[in-house]
This record gives sequence, C-alpha cells and structure tokens, in this order.
Amino acid sequence: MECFKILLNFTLTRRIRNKTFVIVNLLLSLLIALLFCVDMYIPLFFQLDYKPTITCSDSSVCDGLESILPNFRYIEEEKERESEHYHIECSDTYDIMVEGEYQEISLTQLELGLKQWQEITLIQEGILTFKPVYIHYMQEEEDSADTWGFLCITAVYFLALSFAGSVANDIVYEKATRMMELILTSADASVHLLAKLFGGWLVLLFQLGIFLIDIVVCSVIRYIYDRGKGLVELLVELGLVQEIYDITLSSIGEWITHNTDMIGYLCLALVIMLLGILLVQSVLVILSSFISNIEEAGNIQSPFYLLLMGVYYLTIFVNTKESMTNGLGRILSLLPFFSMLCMPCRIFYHSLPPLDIVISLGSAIGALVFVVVLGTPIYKIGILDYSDKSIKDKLMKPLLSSIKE
Amino acid sequence: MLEVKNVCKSFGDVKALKDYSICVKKGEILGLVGSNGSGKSTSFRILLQLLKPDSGSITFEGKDLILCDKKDFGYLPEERTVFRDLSVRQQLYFLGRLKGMSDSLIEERLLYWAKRLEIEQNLDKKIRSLSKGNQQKVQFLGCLLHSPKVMILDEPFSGLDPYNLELMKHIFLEYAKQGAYVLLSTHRLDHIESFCSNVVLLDKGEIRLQGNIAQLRRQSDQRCITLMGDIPLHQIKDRLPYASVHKIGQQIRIILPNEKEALLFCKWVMKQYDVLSLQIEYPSLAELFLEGKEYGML
Repeated sequence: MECFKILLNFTLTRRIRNKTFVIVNLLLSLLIALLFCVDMYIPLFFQLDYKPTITCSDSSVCDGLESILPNFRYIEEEKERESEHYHIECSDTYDIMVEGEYQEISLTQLELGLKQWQEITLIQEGILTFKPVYIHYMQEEEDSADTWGFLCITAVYFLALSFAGSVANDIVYEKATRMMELILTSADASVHLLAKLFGGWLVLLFQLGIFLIDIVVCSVIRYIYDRGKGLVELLVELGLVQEIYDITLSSIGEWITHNTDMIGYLCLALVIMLLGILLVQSVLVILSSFISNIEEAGNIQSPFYLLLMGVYYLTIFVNTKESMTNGLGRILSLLPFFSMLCMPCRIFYHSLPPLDIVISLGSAIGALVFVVVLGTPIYKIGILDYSDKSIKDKLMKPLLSSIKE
Repeated sequence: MLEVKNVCKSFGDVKALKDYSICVKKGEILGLVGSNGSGKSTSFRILLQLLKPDSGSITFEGKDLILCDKKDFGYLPEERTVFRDLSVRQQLYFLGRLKGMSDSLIEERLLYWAKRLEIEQNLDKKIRSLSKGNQQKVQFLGCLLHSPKVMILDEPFSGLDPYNLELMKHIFLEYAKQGAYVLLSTHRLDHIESFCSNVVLLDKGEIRLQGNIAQLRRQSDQRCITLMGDIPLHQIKDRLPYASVHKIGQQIRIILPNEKEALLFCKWVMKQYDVLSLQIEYPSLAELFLEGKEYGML
C-alpha cells in the first residue's frame, strides 16, 4: 500500500507538476475565457450580416415583405440562397415551403409578416381577399441529437486516445530507461500497474475538473458582467440558439429542476466514459509493457490505435435515432469498449431504459476487472522482457499462461 | 550467508542458468565474470526477485529468499537507470521512499553519501546535465541510500575515470567490511582481482570456475614471466613456439605451461641477453580466463 501511494504520488507529480501541463492548462483557460466573450471581439473581425433567404413566386409579395421584414434576404436565383431558406408559393393561399435547416423564430416572423402585409394591402388597396398562410416542411427535420452525438463521440475518442497513450508511453519510457527494473526491486509489478492506471485516471479527472472550473468561473464572470446577454444574442444571430433567454439565477435553478433526469444521465454518461477510457488505458498499458524501446512502440500500439479508430467510425455510422434506440447502436452501447462512445449518444435521443443502464455499467466494470486481472500476470512478464522475439511470440505465451492461471 | 543452490532458469529453449550455485559470506565481495549472455544479469535478477527460478533454492541469512524483505537488497543496473528529466535529489528521494525511508533519513544519508562521492554540488541539477561518470555515481548512491544488507552491482565501473574508480573502490571495500554482502559483475578481470575475494566465471549459464582468487591463481600450473631489456621478440618466439608472448610497452610478457619451463627460459635469457628486470608470477585472473578459453576449458 505504501509503495502504491509513493508510485501514485510520483506519477501524479510527474504528470501534473510540470511546465507543459501548467502552460497547456493556462492556454485552455485563456481559450475558454475568449470563448465566453466572443461576442465582444467577433464583430471587430467579421461582419455578421447573416440573413435567411426567401424566394417568392410573386415579386410584388417579395417587395412588400422587404419593407416589413428587413432581416431577410430576398433572392431570385437558387444558387445564392443560404442554408436557411424559405420559398413562398403565392396562389389562392400563401404556402411557405421549408427545406432543410430552419429557425422557428424566422418561420414565425415570416408567417406574421405575410399576414401583416395582407393587412397593409387591404387598407391601402382595398383588396378584400385574405389568403391563409400554410407552412409546408419539404424535408424531414434534422435531429440535432446527431450533431451532439458526433461531438460527444469525437471528444471521448480523443480523450481516450490521448490519456491512454500518455500512460502507455510513461510505461515505455520507464522500461526503456530500465527504471522499471529498479522500481520493481522495491515494489510488486501489480502494484506498479495499478498505480500507473489509477494515476492516469486521476490525471484525466483532474484535467476535466480544471476544464469545469474554467467554465464555471467564466460563466460567473460573464453573468456578473451582463448576465450573458451579449453572448446569447450572438448565439441567436448565428442560429445556434432559437430564442433570447433571460438568464437569471432563478431561471438557471428552474432549468436544473426541470432537467434533473438529463443531468443524472449526463453524470452516468461521464461514469461510463471514464470506465471506458480506463479500459482502453489498461489494454494499451498491458500491450505497451512488451515494448523495449521508443522506436518499437509503433509496432504494438499502432494496430490498437487503428482498432480504436474503427470503433470510432462505427459509432459515428450507427449514430442515428433508429439505431441507437433499437438497432446496432443500442447493442453496442451495452458492450464494453463501445459503451463509452455509444452510451452518451443515447442520452441525446432520450432512449435509456434502466435495464440498459445496468447492463452497460455492469459490462464496463466487468470488462475492466477482467482486463486488469488477466493483464497483471502478462504485464509482469512483459515489463522485464527485453528479448528480440516477435510481437506474437512475446504476447501469446504470457496470455495463454495467464488464462491457465 | 547468501546461498544459491542448483538454480536453473530457461527462457523458452535457451538455458540462461544451469545448476547455478554460489555462496556469499557476510563482508565478502563476490565477482561475477562472463561474456555477454553468460547469465550474470539473469542471476542478479533472480536474487532481486525480478525473475523466478525454474528450480533450485535461494536462502539469505537462513530464510527463503521469498520471505526476505526486498529492502535488504540494493541494485545498481548495468544501464543508465535514471529519470533524465528529474534532479538528482528528486530521483533519490523517489528511490528512498520506495525503500520505505522517511524524508529526514533520506536527506541525512543523501548529504553524507553525496559528500563521499563528491557530487554534493550536483544534487539540484537535472540528471541529464551530468557527465556519464556522475550519473553512474548517482546510480550508486541510489543503491546505497537505504543501507542494504546485500548490494548487487552490475558493471559498476562503466563510465568512471581512474580517480572515481578508486573512490568507488574504497566505498565498496568499506561497505563490505561493515558486514554487507556485495556481488558485482564486470568484464574487467583486473577490477575483479583488485576488489573481490572470490570469483565466479560464468559461460553460457554454467559456472566454469569458482573460488578464492588467490587460490585459483596458485592452482594453475602456468607461470608468467615479465621481462625488461633489449631482447628481440622474434628470438623469444623462436625459442618458445608453444608459449604466449606479448610485448606491452617496454615489457615482454610470456606465459609458460609450467614452472620447469619458466625456470629453464629464465636461465637462458639471463645468459643470452642483458636483462634489466625479470619477474616470475602466477598467471593473473585474466590470463587464466583467456588461456581457458583458448583451450576450450571455459
């Protein structure tokens, strides 16, 4: 236990108390701070004149709407249109055709604008026919959960890759410099392995903690400054938020009260993600114990990285509502290794039966325990193996003897 | 007493140690000699419990090795085993803590040994900034820091200049005298002769020669003659076609198969040439080793 503490402390000190870690985190804090006041300097560099486009079958309607709704761009040619585009078909009715991306606020404005224009023409020209306005969705609404899922999968993938890689390289370094031999004259190999894994995991938690603290501090500063009003306005202008919220402490509290389930699921996703990263880390560390020098690292680590990339692309491929609810995505979310990528996505589709959660958690914990128990004897052999045998020979024999044990 | 009895160790088809038995008494320095791959490092790793022997037994002070405290053993590996990005103090604190030492004790011993090894001014420097010899001293300090009962030193003299070699030699001898068990391996037989009381010659995992160095030298029939004088080398070679004749600087070194031959040669050379100096002695350990190799005995 004493050795575990010393090795853990040493790992954490080496990983956290170094210039690179401090500089990277200062840069991260600066980046987050810059993101939180993006509305203050973006207009200095870019002209934000984004306007949704409208095409209209009747040019007089277009001309009329231009004076009522100046925040739209009226165009004739298809090529010029923005991704947020509305087409008004004028006949006995006004039919607003909505294709692809659209904003609820733009659609409401357009609907009201058409009614207002009819009232104006009614007063000015005495036209008595009042045409109803209909909205037609030309395409299925795109699910924002896909986007959030993609962002989540990518973030978890890179987290797993970088943190697992750094712990594995730590092992390779200790082995290549033969420090490992010296350490093992005092500590047991299994203690060393656990200290490294736990250390790597704590560094990940520490890093996430710093990230969250940065977010909270920047949010508080922004709240004190203008309750985040400028930021929300910019987000609305960019189409990332649909309406201007009035952010107050009570509204935040209300949001939390209404979204306790969501917060709970996010915490659960975080746990599954951390378990998954620890699993990836364990496998990579055990494999890396057979690497005798830095140059050899690629031979053993690269196939694993390729496998991880395959898992990443597969998860992106199955990241659809249908698959995540009742298809391959759902099955993968119950399996270890895949669950760290798939489970967080399922939260965005609101399809998480309690049984699935239990199975996913159970399989993730079980796989982790299995890998550590099976891997420890392999690790013990690997870290003292400096032979020139092929990777297959190096790995297979310890693996078989470990299974026998 | 540290006793290794009939230890065997194989790696697949390769037999790294065959029936390996040694015995080290308290205060004794045992030298292990052998070419690369002879089994020196494997035997050390087994003593340090880094490897398990396939068969045989090891006892230390009457206890089975597995029951012994790992902290009783100190190890200096052959390679530069350092965290190059750490300072000397950081590395040694880490190793000391792993051996269960308190920080105050580490500091006390660190200052003492750093002064003895003349590296006290380097304690807060990064290890990578130190010379090869000083890095070796740092390793040695790491091995000594926790005052181990058994000190295992794999090639301890690599990278050391003659001055530092003498410095380390004094510390070894002093440490052994205090009642430690010291095992060291080296390729340099002259080092073994000057440091160790006993020697083990290893070849392909087997012990070829073992015992007290002085006794081993005396057991040999061979005699060495060291000559100085104006004597043509080819004349000696013509007279002694079966002997090993070398010129080292101004000296001529001749190894003869027995004492009788040596005496006959001495008479002849004294009669024929103007000899400045002549010395007959038992062959050195290195000569025994090389001769043994030549005749397939080792």
